[in-house]
Amino acid sequence: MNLTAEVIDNVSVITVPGETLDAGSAKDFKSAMAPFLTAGARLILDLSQLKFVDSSGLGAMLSALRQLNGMGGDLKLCGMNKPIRALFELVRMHRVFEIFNTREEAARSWSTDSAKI
Amino acid sequence: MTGLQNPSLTPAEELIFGRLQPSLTCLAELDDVCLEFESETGARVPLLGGPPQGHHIPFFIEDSGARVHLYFSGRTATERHLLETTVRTLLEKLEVEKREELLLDELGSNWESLEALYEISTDVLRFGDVRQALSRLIERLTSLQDGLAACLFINRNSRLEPLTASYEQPAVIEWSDLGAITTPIQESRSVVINDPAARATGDGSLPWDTATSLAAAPITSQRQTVIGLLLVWRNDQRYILDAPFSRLLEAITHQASMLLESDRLNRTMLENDRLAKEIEIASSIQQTLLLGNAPKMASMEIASFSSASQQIDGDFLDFLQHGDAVDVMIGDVMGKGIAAALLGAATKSQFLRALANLAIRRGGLPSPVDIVRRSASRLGERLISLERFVTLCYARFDPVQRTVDFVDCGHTGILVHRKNSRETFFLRGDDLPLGIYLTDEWHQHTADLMPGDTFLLFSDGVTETRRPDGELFGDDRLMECLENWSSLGPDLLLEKIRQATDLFRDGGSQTDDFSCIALRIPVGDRNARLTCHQTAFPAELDQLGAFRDWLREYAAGLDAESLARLDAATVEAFVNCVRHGALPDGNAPVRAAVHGYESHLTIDLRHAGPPFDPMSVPPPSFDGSRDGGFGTFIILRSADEVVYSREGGENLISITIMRR
Repeated sequence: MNLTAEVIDNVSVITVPGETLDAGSAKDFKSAMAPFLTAGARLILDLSQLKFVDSSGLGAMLSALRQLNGMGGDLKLCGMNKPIRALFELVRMHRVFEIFNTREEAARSWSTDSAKI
Repeated sequence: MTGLQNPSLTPAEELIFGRLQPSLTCLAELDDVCLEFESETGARVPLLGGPPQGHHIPFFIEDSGARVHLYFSGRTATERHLLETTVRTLLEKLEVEKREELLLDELGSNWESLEALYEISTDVLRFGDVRQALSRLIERLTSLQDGLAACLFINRNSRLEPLTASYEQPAVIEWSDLGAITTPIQESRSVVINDPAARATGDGSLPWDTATSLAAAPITSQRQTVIGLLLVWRNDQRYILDAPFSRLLEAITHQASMLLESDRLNRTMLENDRLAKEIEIASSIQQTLLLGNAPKMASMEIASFSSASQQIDGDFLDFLQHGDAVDVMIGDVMGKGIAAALLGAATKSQFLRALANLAIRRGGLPSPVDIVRRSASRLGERLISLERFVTLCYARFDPVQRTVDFVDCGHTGILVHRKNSRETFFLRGDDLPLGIYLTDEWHQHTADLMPGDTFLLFSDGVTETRRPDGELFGDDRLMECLENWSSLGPDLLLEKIRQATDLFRDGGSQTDDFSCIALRIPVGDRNARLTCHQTAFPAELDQLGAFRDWLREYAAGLDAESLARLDAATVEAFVNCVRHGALPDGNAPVRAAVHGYESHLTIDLRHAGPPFDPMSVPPPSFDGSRDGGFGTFIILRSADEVVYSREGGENLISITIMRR
């Protein structure tokens, strides 16, 4: 899996390619994500291409979030379709991840965070 | 119960007939066997098979003029013997059931007896020592009426040793000293004799030799062997000992039996404290009198569970099946101990009486509110005078009318999980418990019942399960259990609720009775399968895409939301098959089948591998601390029904999604 990041104002936006992120592709996704998980990194995963995510796909995103949080970075999500959103809510991951409708909203959330400080 | 179906039978015979018929289904496969029921008046009604021909064996039904006739042809001597024994055993079982009900009925109808028993039980609890408790029991019994004398004998080395008596220096006696009483007691029956001439009187050396009336009841061990008897007599020709007295005596000996039995247990297990004994006694009452068994029905699945706490509060429940519908009653007596348990039994019996009375009078099934009104009118004043009250929910589940009619008298309400709309909510009434005010105002509520619904009735012991830090389990956690586990069906759901509350209690003791009933309405008719498609996939994760495409082709017609749930559940199940189905010589394929029904779709996935038990899967962590462990949870929450089973050495998971 090839992941490319688009950098806007210190925030990297990664569009997850393909229609599914499931047990069949989660391993690939995890290794493709590894180079982006650096200290203090601000990442947005754009899921708008995806039609389906299973628990393994969700677990891979969770793993990335935990690693980033451990290094002072953060990971936010955007562009979920309805079934993916339903899955996140079912296992209550909408309380663990910050989820936005669009990449712009996600990016803006960092600037409002820093504005608050 | 829908009125009298056989006009030639008396109501009593109708009852026997109704009881007998379902228990005979075990003989239904023998096509040359015929059974007929003959009423006292000689009218014959077929029970099973027909026509009557060949060998003929008549059986008499005890305490009634009715008979059962068995006919069969051919068969070896052994088979004949087996057949005869089977029918005889079924009739004896019926007899035992009838006696138990009679006892309950008498207890419920005779409030004086009940009150006496109630006081006695409350008293007995105060004594730690069994001898002291038993002598108090005798003392109370003899104070019920003037001139009563009593002695409790225990069988030791084939002689009867007095354990406690209402008179001084009771002597050891022989069984034969009891005369005409000996045989019935040894056969575990109670006996009343009001005519001195009817029993062989002794030589005047024993205190009861000159008695005008005499009653005795056997004391039995848990294994139903006679270990002693309670003898009561009176020397006063103006009074006789009547049938209600005899029932009271039976109830008291029942209690004495339990006291002795638990004392025996106590002595064999010294670490048992008095509390444990109480539980033993009270749960014994609970098991025999308070808890009904969930019926097996084609129209719905029902499971029930009850466990007595250290301070029994008299939870009771019962079921009454009529056709495809079922009445469920669940209640809780405020108060603790054996007394509360007995009061629960009396309340339950009052409801059954009310139902039977109304049914016979009107020739049809009375409504829940009529049953509650009649029972309340008979119980209310008495409960108030005892300063006790009873919370209760009486509900009728009718899958044909698709309704639930219920009366909720201060109970916990009915919790519903509706797969069709994925909602979880309470059905509640607002009537007060029985025993608060005297009122005729009771309200029946009607709610929808839909395919895929699971209903949960429970006692407050469930939601009031306490964590060591004082936090209560509460409605929300119970609702979550229902949402998480109801797709596995009532039996496993109740097991999960038990697990969850045990876990929550975290080693603390159970302070309340704990009762729970779950009913599930099937998603649809499983006999009307329209389509079936089967295929196999290599057990590789890269097959997920192919599997989803294949399934989508046959899942046409599902709405988007249901389709997404089907996707979520089946993908997790497929991944589990691949991950846990590893065999030493490589993975066997995953075999998939999709069955289309009018009302639902069922997807079967079969794969080799070690047995899988969904009950052993730990709950997922929702705080993001673990990447995995969500699979089974997602399957159970996304599907409408899930069945895990083992077939031919393979795991089979069946996932059902309703069409909406």
